[in-house]
Amino acid sequence: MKLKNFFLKGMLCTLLASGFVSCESDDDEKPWVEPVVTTGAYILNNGSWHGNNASLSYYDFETDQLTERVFANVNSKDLGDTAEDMLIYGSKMYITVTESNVVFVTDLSGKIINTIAPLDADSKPDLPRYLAAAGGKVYVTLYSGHVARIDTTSCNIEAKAKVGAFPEEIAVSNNKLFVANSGYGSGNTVSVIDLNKFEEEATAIEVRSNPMRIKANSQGDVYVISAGDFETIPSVLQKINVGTNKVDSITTASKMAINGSTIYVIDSQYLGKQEKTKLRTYNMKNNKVDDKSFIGSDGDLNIDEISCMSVNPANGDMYIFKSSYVANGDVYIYSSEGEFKKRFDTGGINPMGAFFLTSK
Amino acid sequence: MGLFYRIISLSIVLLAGTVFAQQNDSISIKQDIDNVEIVTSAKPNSIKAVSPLQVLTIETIEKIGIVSVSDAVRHFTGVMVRDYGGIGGLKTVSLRGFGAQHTAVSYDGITLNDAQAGMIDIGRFSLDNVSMLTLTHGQSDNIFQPARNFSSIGVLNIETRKPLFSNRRYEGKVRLGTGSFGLFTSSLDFSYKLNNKFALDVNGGWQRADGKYPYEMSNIIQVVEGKRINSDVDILRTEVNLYGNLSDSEKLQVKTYFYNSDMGVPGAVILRNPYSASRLNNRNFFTQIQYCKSFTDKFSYKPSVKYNYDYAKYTDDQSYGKTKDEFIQNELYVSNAFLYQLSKSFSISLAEDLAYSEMQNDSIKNNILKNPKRKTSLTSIASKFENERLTVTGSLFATYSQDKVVASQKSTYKRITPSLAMSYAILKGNKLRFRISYKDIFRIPSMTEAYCKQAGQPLKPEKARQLNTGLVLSTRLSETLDYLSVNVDAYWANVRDKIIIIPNGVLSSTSNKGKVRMSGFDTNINLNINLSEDMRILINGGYSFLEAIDITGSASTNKSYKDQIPYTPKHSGSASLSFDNPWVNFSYSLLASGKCYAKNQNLKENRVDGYTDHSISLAKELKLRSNKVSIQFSLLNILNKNYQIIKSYPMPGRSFRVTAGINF
Repeated sequence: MKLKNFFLKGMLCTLLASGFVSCESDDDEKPWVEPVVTTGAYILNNGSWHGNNASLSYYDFETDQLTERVFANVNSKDLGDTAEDMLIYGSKMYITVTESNVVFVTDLSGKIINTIAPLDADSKPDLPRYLAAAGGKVYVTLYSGHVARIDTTSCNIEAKAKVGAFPEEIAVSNNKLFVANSGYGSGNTVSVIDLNKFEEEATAIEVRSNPMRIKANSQGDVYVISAGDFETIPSVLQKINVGTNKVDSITTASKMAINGSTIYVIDSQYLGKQEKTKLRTYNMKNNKVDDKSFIGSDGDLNIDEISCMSVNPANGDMYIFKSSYVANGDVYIYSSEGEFKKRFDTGGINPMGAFFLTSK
Repeated sequence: MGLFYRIISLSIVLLAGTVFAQQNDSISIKQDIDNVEIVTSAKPNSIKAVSPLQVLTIETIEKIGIVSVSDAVRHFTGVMVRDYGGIGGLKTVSLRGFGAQHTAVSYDGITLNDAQAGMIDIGRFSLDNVSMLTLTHGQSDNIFQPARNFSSIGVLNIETRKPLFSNRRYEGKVRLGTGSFGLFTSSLDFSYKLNNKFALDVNGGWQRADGKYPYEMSNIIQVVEGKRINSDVDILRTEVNLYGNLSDSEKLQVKTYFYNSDMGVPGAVILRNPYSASRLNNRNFFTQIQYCKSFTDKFSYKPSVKYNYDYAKYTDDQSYGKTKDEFIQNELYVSNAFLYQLSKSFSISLAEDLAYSEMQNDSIKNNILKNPKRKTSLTSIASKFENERLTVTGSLFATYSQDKVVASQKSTYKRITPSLAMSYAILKGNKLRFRISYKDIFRIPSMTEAYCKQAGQPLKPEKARQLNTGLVLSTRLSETLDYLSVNVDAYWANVRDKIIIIPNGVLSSTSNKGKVRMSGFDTNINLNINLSEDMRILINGGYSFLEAIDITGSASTNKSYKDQIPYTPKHSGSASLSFDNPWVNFSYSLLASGKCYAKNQNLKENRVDGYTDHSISLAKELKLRSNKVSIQFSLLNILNKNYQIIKSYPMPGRSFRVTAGINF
């Protein structure tokens, strides 16, 4: 009996001790995947340049139907010219329509709550591009070389901060904004803006030429794709180490989609002539590139025709887009294992991606 | 362009006019000037023509109240004028679904060429000095022309007015006009007979407009209202011609032409963004010399030389900065044509053209397109048999063209293509003629297509083929209905290796994968009614039906398979009626078009609605001593519809024009 007690006490102690050890290591890592349920996906169609034919389609998961032109149906107004990006944040959606110089603030069905038309000091259109959100504010890059902050209650722009030339995508990490300054091909910096000060930091981060795509993962790491010059400089995926602002090149890539701990990479290079497209994945946990394609060969999708992709955060389904500038685009939906599920005409020209509606 | 420069140019023209006009008629009585026509321009015979040939003389154009070259061309059948609206807007001519790059445009017998874009903007020509516009679908009957005149599936010829000198040593005209949206037009033409052999003609025009027209434009579901801004134009054109009638068998024409325009480029109407600040300055200068000599009554030689300079500067002022893009083109063109008349009915010709084009595009980032050069050799061998009942022509056309872009990159295009045509009088006296023609031709990719970043290297020429059959009726029914002509032409055509955009990774690329098939028919009617000695009614009408479908790839790979290609309406037509009488001449004209699609897929959201455009005109002519004074009032687009020809470019609604002039 004495031996059993001692043994039990001993086990209790070691259990308690191991409890302390594991708590310490769990404090630093945020979860890679947050559980979420999605009910449908909006697909944003860019339209043709100066064709006034941008549109929004909605794929309802329950009915398994894609409805075209939902913005026009709900508002009795056309979306406009060259829709670039969309963001679903809280109970509202934000859509940038660049050539129409508009940011629409809508409810989750697409009905307009406010129409923002940003103008600079000389009344010239600012031309909004990409969106990001944090702390009840939505941030949008403007081609005029600024980031505007939209308050989600007033649904209006309340401040602007200057960044580099022709800013494209924008990401939020560790209470800061990271902005890709493409310079219309001649830029090579990422501007950093503290969310409280809302001012560009004196030193921008230097990256490879023509940074366009930028995304943050759940851990706060920031990834940038610099598109190069289409002649000799290739398009490359880089990682910005947020503590040191040191930049590492990871692999050649032209587009990316992040889900959990994986970056899905579309690598389509044009260096004087069009190269064949390659698909690969990058594991952010162990910093390893896997050259195996993440989709199977069924569904008769010609990989060379892939333009962009989005991933459903609820189940890892991959939405792979094919874009024709003269006819409606297509979306091919694959399971997280890479098995082809179905295909839709996106209902408009040049789809920019899928934006998932989550249920509360 | 500076006010100073403009005043100087117009002053030179006006000065020349006033100096000579002050000489009184006694000079022409004293000197023994032969009433020999220094320049002859024959009106082509559209009844006998082996290919559909339509003619609009300036008399008819002015009677109908047409105000621009592009509006006149819209009255032809088998034509789609892509009009971007307003006076300064781009206007290109597409024949029977082939596309604007397949249309050749010639000015007084020598073709214009734009190696950069491959198409001609007819918006830059004015009716001020035009005497005749002709349109040929296929091969022309006249085999004695420079080879480049045969290099396209169809040709629009612009002929300028030649002096007639009926009883004086000089002649001329002055015109002043005004109209809606701040329009002001002025033109002066002065011709002087230097001696028995030579005549000099100086003409020019200046026009400006605000172009701020209100519009109501239907987009997909919304109707957008606004006023066109940044649409002002300021256009100056001057031309000097020297005509030489050196002997019965020797003729010479030397022309120098200068054009300068400053205009706003309003661009498409973009939903919710009315800002427009893009400007264009365009300068064009060319000089052309054409000489013709008959050595014996069998052998003739016609050499031509042309030098052309074109400069375009686009500027813009946006929130991200100011931009400036400059494009320069230089071309030197030499043609040698020979004609040998074997017998009264049978002749053969040989023409050899050489052209050297050089472009400068310093603002383009793509190194390849910065300074491309193109050398082209065109050869045409043709033969013709012609008597009162039968005309047969046959020809072979050979092209050899070489591009040099960067030192390492050269492209070569070579091809030989045939054409064969015939016209036969079923009834004597040309009352009823049957014609059939076949033409196989191609077009070399324009510089922009061949060397833009996305070009799939190497691009091949686009091949075009057309078979046309038709019946032409022309007769005099009675003393009242003293002229009636009707023609119906049915045609089948296709374009292979059509240059299209295909999706391909990062930058979609251009390639020759396209295929289009066309079938259609054109019909025209012209009727003269003589009510009395000084009362006449002229009726013209035309209707075109065209099915031009996309047969690229297959139904499973091409979402627009068998859809009507963009900007090609199935139905289109025109009509005009003019009533000449001793009081006030009245005319009515109609342009109509069915719907078409702005993009490849024939979907509702891509549709451009059809339209009707009605206009009326009143004109009065008076004789003042031996001069003629005229005044004309036109009301255009009476129903005030801002229809679109190109999607998102609304046309002006109702507008008026008043012109007054003196012919002396």
